This record gives sequence, structure tokens and C-alpha cells, in this order.
Amino acid sequence: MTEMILPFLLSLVEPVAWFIIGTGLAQNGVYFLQLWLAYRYLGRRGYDEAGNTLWRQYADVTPPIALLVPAFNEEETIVESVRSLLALRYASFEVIVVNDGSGDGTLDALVRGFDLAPVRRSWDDALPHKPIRGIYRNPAFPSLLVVDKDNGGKADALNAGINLSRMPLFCAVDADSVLEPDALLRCVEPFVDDPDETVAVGGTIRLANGCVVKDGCVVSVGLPKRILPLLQTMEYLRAFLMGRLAWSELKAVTLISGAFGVFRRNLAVEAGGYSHDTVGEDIEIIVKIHRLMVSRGKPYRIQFVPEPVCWTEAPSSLSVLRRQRIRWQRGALETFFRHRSMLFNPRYGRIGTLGFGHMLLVDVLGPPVEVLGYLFFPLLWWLDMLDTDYLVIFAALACVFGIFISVGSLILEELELRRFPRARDLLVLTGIAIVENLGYRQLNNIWRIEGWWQFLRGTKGNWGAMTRVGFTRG
Amino acid sequence: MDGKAVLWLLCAGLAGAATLMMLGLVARRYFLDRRAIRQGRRRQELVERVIVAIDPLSGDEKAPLVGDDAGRRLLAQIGCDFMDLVRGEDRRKLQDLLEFNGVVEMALVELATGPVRRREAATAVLAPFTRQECRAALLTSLEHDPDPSVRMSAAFALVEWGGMPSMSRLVAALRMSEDKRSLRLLALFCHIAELNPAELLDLAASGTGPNVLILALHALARAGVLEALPLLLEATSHAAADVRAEAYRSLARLGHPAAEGVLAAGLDDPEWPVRVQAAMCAGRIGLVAFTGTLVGLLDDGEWWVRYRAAEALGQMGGQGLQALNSVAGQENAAGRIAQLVLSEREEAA
Repeated sequence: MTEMILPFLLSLVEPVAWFIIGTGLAQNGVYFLQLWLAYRYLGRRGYDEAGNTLWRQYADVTPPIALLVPAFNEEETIVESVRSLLALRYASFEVIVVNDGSGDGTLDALVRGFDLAPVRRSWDDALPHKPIRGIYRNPAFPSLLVVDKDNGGKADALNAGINLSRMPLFCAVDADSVLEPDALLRCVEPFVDDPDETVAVGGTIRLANGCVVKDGCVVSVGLPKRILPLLQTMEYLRAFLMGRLAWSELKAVTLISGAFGVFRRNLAVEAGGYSHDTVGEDIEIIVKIHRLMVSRGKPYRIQFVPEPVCWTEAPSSLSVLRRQRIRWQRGALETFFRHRSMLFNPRYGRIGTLGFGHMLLVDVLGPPVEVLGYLFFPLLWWLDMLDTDYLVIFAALACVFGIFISVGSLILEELELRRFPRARDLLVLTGIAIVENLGYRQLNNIWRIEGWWQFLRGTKGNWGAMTRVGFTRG
Repeated sequence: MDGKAVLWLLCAGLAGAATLMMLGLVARRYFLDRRAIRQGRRRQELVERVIVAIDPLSGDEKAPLVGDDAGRRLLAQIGCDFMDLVRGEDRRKLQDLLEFNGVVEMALVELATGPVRRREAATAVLAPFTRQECRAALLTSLEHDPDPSVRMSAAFALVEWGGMPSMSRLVAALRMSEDKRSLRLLALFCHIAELNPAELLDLAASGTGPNVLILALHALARAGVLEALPLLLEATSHAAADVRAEAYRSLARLGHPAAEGVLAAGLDDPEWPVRVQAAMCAGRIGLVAFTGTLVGLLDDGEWWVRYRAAEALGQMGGQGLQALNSVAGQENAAGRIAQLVLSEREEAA
């Protein structure tokens, strides 16, 4: 028996090795392409500090927006978050806070903080959600509406918010996030330029760990002091300034972050709103909108705009970060397999080929193949089937590719946003670009394998509550 | 060279390139930071000197403030910030000061040869200068700049500050024949409707595409141009539902009772967005003759129509409110919406 199995296994070694190398090369090839596309975009657009010009030119004609703020156990921060949202620089908007059956005093904090009273309001029952227990407002804050409902998850809370909103656009914002004062004005620019074709727009998410927040505004930008948020800072730079920008250039955006995205309300409703049965409701709604628009056969745009910035707090502990990454991985897999018929389907054009092709490579195959590589090549070396030199070269190449891509993203940040105030910050982030390849990247892939495992087992999702340290107050 | 050597070389190349890029980036940032500090100080000084120079009593608009392009760009920014804040003699002095210090000449060069952002900024700098050379440069930019945002900025400059070209030239320059709806174009139309409504009326009457027509109607109604009334009434029977909806929205804004003649068709339109706007129009103008029709719409299949119809009845007061109150007693969709809208009205009061 052994005599038969061993030659068979040995015959697999070379194809498996080439498959791992090929997948790695393909991933890096995609990252290089993303870098090039992002640079091309910047070359066209250049550094932008035109907030006042935007305001002068089209503040009067900006479409009204409903800011939907799903909140679950946010007692500590919710009042300050809402105050900062109410102070945004935008001509016409309302803030709809949806308390999703919090177990703490989130609702009480809001009622006390804004002196709210129960009211009755008619709403469009277009999307399904758990029952609404009450609606609150205070005429002194005409732009604020608080909705209290049974617990149903983030997607359910957002659906309730969509139903209650009466604005043509809505913006989904996490309750623990801080928007820059101009964020809405900048994010809505594609809707101003092309209100018919633009269906959704996303902005950049950045980490507020290490920044000073005063009265709901980031008044001083700094790098996190702790290593985990520092590592995530680099990840966010790569994801937004390289990844999203590139896919936006290719008109193949498959994700607008759930923490900050603007949508056309009527299309979100027609697409069925946010799905309850996935933990990746943000990626799911974008794919559903793509399907809807392709079925209509009309041109449309889902765009990423790098300038509007939303600040959020990153997990500072391994356990919380692990849960988050497992959830993200599951969300991506759920959407990918639910809509697998779109993959390489010519009917879906770039979304089917580039968008879903990228998901296949990076989210579906990426983690298991990379983890397989961590085990496979050392095993070959241990069995004397791989030269030590090659083992070291492969490891070095994997690291150096990663460093190069991260450095490329840092350059994009410096050219496009330049939010880190000191030259020293760039040096620290360069160090992080190196360090992240020596343990953190591998750990992340192991968490993503856990996400795969949970997906295969069909584990149910939840709010994914995060333990927060809180912003540094000014 | 064997395979290993190639791979090592690739590794070294990527690592070296990354290191060099980062060193370059840090060095660049170091210089940018220093420059930003210098510029911040210089800007502060310039702001103070500009304020002194444009003082109507003691100011000297011929004061030499800057001698280099970096200084002129700073002065141009300050000038743009101040231009909207000052009026009369102060503004004239500010313009003379910018002219004397070469800001206008620099902006003319940048408008012709600079990168996109600079060209866009140059249009804002040149906007208040009415001399022929500036108007001509803006007009050239409007008609020939390859970037649409620069063309649009030039159009704003010409419309807001004088020298607006004919509507046909604007239509060609801004590619309006492509019939793309853009809210920037709407903002421009709003300016035109205030300053030169006849041009916009001509455009709306010229059989332009539905998207541009919608923007034109909206801008005319927003500016309260009553001469647009025949166009609006005609647009209520346009083939495109978006145009019909905009026609009713604009009629509501104008608040003209002539809308009564076309409202029945709007309230019975097969497209719900049109019914919504027609209902809002009836409420806004207070056309009580449509109370019965609006009560009928409280049973509409579309929530927005039910809601706006109830709202309209509430807005009408008297007869409308009476109808709303009587429906509120019913145990059906119409009754529920009537109850809720009545509650909303009470709470708002």
C-alpha cells in the first residue's frame, strides 16, 4: 500500500508547489496592478485641498442625505458621536440613530443627552426588519431621529433606518466613527457630477487610535502607540488607498465599507436592502446592487473617493481583532458563494471577471493557499526535497513583495492625503511595513482559515461587538 | 546567471527600491513640512499686509507684497478668500493689489498651461477681473479646456462675474447635447436664472434633452421666474416621467394657481413619482378642489404617494384637514397614514 501512496504523493509535490507559487505571484501581480492604477488616478487628480471651493460651488444643490447610525451597546460614546454628526458641514441632512435592542443604556443616554420625547412617524415599510418599539425626537434638534427597535443585527437596524429615512440618499455610518466635517460634501461629489448613474460612493476609513478627538472631531492626528493598531494602520492604507481606488478606476468595486458609504435609497430598497443572513452585509449589498443594475442594462457607477475620511477605532487586543477578521472572512465567502454564478460570467462584465476574480484569488484561495505554503515548503525542506537556499529565497521574496506593496501605499497616502503630521510617522510606518510580514501577516491568514472553517460549518453571525478603549479626548 | 541568483537579485531590487522610495518620501516630507511652516508664517504676514493695503482710507493698493511665484500663489489664495468678504472700494483695491503684484498674469499663464487643479484654481482667481484679457482667457478655457471641471469652473466665473457667453456657446462648451444630468450644471443654471432668465427660458423652450430640461425648469422655478409657467404647464404632459415630476415640483415652488388645470392628470399619472409631486403641488398651492382626489390617493399602492397625499391634505388646512380627520377613523392603510400624519403635525406644532 505504502509503495503505491508514496509515489503518488511525490508526483503531487511539484504541481502543488507551482500552484502555491502561482497563486502568490498572481496575488502580487494584482497588488502591483492596483498600485499602478491608484497612481494613475492620482496623477490625473493631484493633491486636493479644495473643501471651500466645493462648498462655494455646489453646497446649494447637494442632495439631502439621511445618516443612518445603527447602535448596539454604545452607551459610552453615542451622545458624543451623534453630536459630531449633527455638526457636519452639509446643507441638508438628518441623522437617524437606530438602537438595535441594546442591553445597556444606549437609548437612555440618547434620550437624556438630547432631551428626546416619543413621537409617531409614518414610514415606508419597504424592507423587512424587527419590530420598532418607539421613535424619539426633540424639536430643538430637528435633524435628529432616534429609533428604538428589537434586536436584529446591524443589517436589520440599517433596513429600519432606510425605511424611516425620507431623503434620496442615505449614508451608513458606524456609531463609533467620526466623520471629518467635509466628508459628506466630498463623498457626494460623484452624485453631484452624475446623479443619474452614480448609485453608491465609499470613502476612506482611517484609524483614530493615537489621534486626539475633541467635541466629536479629530483635532490631532497621530499614530497609535500600540503595535496591533499600528499594524492595522498599514492594512487600512493598503486596502483603501490602493485596493478600493484601483477597483474604482476599473469600475469593479465590490465593497464599500459598512463604516461609511453613501447610497441611493430607492436602489438599495429595490435591491432588497441589507441582508440579514450574512455577517458581510456591506459587501452583500454592493453585489446585490450590481446584480440589480446589470439586470436593468443601464450604465451605473459605484465609486470610491479617497478624500472623504471617516475615523474609526481599531481593535487593540488580539482576541477582538481575531473575531473581526474571522467575521470579515466569513462575510466575503458567504457573498462569493451566494453569488458564485457571477464569477467570470460575461453578463456581469468587469464585476464578474475582475471583481469576483479578485475575490476568488484573494479571499477564497488566498488564505488557504498561503497557509499551505507555510507548511508545505518547510516540510519539503525537512524531507530534503528543497534546497535551503530556495526556502530562504521564497520566504524573503514573500516578505519583500509585501514590503514593496506597503511602501507603495504609503507613497499614495503621502501624495493624496498627507494626514500624518510628522516625517517621523512615515519612518515608523516603514518599520511596520517590514514587521507586519514577520508574524502578523501569518497570524491574519490563520484567522482567515478560521473564518473559512466557520463558513463551512455555517456558523450564524451576530453584531460582532467590539471592546473599545475609546478615543483619546482633547 | 542561475535561477537562485535571479531570485536574489529580484529580492534585492525590490528591497532596494522600497528603501530608496521611503528615504525619498521622508526627505520630501521633511522639506514640505519646512516649506509649510515658512508658508504659514508668510501667509499670516501677507494677510496682515493685504488688510492694511486695502484699507479704504490709508491703504496703498500699489504696495509690492510678493516677488516670486510661490508668494503670488499665496496672495492669490488670500485674494480668493477675501473677494467674497469685501465689497465696493475695498474690493476694487483688492483687485488692484492682486493686479499690481502679478497675480493675474500668473493666473493667466496657469490657466493656459498648468495642471488640472491649478487651472481650476486659476479660474477662481481670474473670475472677478473684468478686463478683456481675463474674460477672453476664461472663455477660451470654457470652450477648449480638456477637463470638464475646469470648463465648469470657467462657466461659473463668467456667469457669476459678468461676461457670460451666449447660451448656445455654453451648451456646446459644457456638452449639454449629451443630456447628462449634473447638479453642478443645476447650480450654474440657478445663477443664470437669477441673472439672465431669458437665456434659460430659450434653452428650455428649444427642445433640449429631458435631463437638461429638468435642470432648466428647476432653476427657473427656484428663481421664481413666472415667465416659465407656460413651459412648466406644457412639461406636465412630457413623454418622460422625470420631466413630468419636475414640472409639478416646479409648479409647487412657483405656487401659481394655474397649476390647477393640469393637476388632475398628475394625480392620476401611471408613474408614482409624478403622483407624489402632483400631490405635493396640490398641498403647497392649497388647491382644495382636489381634496377628494387626494383622499383617494391615501389608498395608493405606493407609500410615498399615500404619505405625500396625507401631508398635502394637512397643508391645505380647513377642508383638507377635515377630510384627513374623517379618514383617520378608518381601520385601513388610508386611516393609518392619516392618523400618523395628523400626529406628526401635532408634534411639529
